[in-house]
Amino acid sequence: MANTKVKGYVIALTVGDKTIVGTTSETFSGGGVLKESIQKSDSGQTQYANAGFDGNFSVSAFVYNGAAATGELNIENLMDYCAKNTTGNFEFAFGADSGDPLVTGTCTFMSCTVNSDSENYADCTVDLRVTSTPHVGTV
Amino acid sequence: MILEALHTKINAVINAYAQIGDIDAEMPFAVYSADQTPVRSKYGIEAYEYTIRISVVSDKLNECMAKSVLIKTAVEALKGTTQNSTAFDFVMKENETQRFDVSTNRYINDITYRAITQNE
Repeated sequence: MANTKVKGYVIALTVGDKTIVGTTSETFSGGGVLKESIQKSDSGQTQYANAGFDGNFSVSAFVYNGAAATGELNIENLMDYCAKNTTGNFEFAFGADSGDPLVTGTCTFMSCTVNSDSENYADCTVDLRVTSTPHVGTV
Repeated sequence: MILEALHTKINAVINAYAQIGDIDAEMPFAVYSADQTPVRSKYGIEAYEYTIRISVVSDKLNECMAKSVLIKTAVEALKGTTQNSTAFDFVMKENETQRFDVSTNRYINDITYRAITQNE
């Protein structure tokens, strides 16, 4: 299969099979945690070993009032989950077609920042922490 | 459509024309335009942001400014309303500049608004 660029709007984070309504952008950052050590037997050469995974999601979205539809998380859900540090299973798909990369794991809702000014629609930023080593598979 | 909404409001004050092509108008009059930029989320278009430009033209400065006041009141009243099927969430004045065209001896008041609508 030829390489094709992934359209930004195709990438979608779901937590517990639900997406955040009105999402405008999603950022995922993470990587292995590298632990360094040195013993006398290493002859002065520092040793490195993977010691887990540290990752975060940040999602920006418009703030919507009203009841969330099936498969959606609205601001009410987000505020509640962040206050309680709710944990859920996440899926981060890089497409909807069979064979497209799919990252899965668990994450915890950490914080929700709501921005509002006098001249624009209110928006929010939700931060989530990845709490398990993600599994990279396919859709 | 937003141009219909603007025409309804501005034409109630003064003869109004969309700023498309040459205009053969009797003074005083106003010309208006609306430049559109969609506001998008990952799921599609959420709203439309417009830069609205209104030029009020008269050969008398007092008349130009008096009509401008009425037009500003009418346009700002669009906020929170639906006019000609366009739902206005925000209507904010951004700029106003007066000038005099020496070639035609006309006073012109240029008013710029930023508007966000739910639909086109």
